[in-house]
Amino acid sequence: MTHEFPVLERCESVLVAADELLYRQITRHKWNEVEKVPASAAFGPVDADGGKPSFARSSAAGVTEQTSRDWHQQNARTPSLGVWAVTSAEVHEADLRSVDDSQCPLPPEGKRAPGHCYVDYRELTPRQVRDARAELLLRAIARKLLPTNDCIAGQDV
Amino acid sequence: MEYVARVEEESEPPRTEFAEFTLRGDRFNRGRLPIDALVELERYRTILLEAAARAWAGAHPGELLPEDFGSEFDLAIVEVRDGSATSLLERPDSAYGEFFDLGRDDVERLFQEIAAGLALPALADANEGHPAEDNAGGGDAEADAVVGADAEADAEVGAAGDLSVPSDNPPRSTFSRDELLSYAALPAFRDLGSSLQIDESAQIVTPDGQQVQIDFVVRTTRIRPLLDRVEQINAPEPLPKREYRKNSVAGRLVSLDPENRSFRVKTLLHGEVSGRYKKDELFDDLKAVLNSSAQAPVVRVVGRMSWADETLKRILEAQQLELLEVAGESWSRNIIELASLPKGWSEDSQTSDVISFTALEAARELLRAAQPNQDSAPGIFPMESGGVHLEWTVPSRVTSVEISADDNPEFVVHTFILSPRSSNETTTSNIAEATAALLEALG
Repeated sequence: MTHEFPVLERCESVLVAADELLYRQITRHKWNEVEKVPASAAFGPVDADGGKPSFARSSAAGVTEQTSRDWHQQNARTPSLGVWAVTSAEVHEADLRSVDDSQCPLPPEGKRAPGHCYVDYRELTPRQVRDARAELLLRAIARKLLPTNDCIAGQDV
Repeated sequence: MEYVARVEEESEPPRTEFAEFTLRGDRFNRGRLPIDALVELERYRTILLEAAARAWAGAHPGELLPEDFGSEFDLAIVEVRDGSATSLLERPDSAYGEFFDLGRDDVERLFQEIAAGLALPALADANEGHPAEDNAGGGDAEADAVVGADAEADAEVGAAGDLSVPSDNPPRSTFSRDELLSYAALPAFRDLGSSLQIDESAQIVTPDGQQVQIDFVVRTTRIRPLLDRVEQINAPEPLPKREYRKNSVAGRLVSLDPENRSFRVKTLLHGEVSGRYKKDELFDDLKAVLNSSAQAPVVRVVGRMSWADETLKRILEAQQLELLEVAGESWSRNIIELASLPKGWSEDSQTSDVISFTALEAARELLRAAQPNQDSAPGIFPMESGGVHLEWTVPSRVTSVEISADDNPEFVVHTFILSPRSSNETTTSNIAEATAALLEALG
């Protein structure tokens, strides 16, 4: 699978493929309560994010799975049920790229999570999106739920 | 305080010394009792009578207070003593004398406890039981904090008798929350002492001979906070703002009343809600639902609705009706949850659509077909476009079906295998083809 990525903004930079964890918050409409696993859609884009679903970099100052989830609970419309993660290398293996945009001007809503980055799904066909998000889901499931306070129970697949 | 019976001349009914009520201050020196101050005596009498009536009611549950109870409570000032205006009050001997005395003892004890700062914590307690029972539980933090804060004021007021108890068992009022609320509702209680100047006071004597002053300090540091708290307790909850807008809601149809053109629906999110309709065809639809052979018919009603704080209060006019047959299957609750999502349900998009019943019915068909082959439970997720996303996940493979919200839905059956990395996808509008593709993908 190959495709052209759009040109990045000057304030953006591509993360190198590494073991750095990228945290993703899972909310209730993307959560399989019986099997205790997220939906593949939880790792993919939605209309509102323009093909750039948000993640948080574990290497950023002060960012842990807990602080990342705390920020979400205080700022997002729907609470996070738990934190799951993929590495920047796994994103790269899924023929995607992860982009740090923490230095860019704030979005219109005026807030951005600490250590913010996104996985770039722009210009992908619907099938490529399905492939990529399914791959990230399986990578995250292999890593299991990251423990945080008051999080959901662990998963068994 | 002990009172003695006094036998008058034969022509007068026997009377009993009943209480002392003393007014202190320059105005009252040399036993002077200004007419202006009589209002305080009248207030005191009203409170006593209320307490006596309460004592009588306690001994005669369910009975009406005798008509002559109030007139029998014929208090009279028989003496104004020198040094300050101390009014010695007498009552006639009466069949209710026992209750008049009990009421008086209660009132004197009530003001003793108020002056000692014990009443406010009792109102702070959420438990409405008798205070003796409350104390067994140790009291709550808020109440204890108030007691603590009152310690300083106690020293300042220097009022009541010795109510000190070990510090690990903070003193509490012997009156229940309801009793205190009831006294606080009396205008006479609220206004007692209000006609007095800042350097004047009223004084009563407790059953055990202690003097309790009701002065400016007690009124401002004890009675005022108590009344403020009562006002807070009695204040009605602010009504949530009502909104009227078109939306949809799903639930089980419970009843239909053709005469009043009304019906009731039991919803997942808002409980049982009543609704009305105008059009005859809506009645036909509703009747068809009730008569349907489905085990558990779920309807989605679209129409004008009344909402308060995002809770549906009433369906003002049903305009459309959809039926979804949900049998008692393991995924039925998920299907009903998705059917119940209002427009704008998604955390990512406020324009996300309600979930199509056609998509939900198709999802149910696919789930039924796939169930015998699977040990794991599929994820059943809503799509922002109003479609349904089914997904089966095992460590090496993700199989999903996306069902569009169209009347003739499109199915995208997709499988991704991690190792060796591969994927497969089938797009069709034929549910049989979609089912076959899904079963093949699930193996």
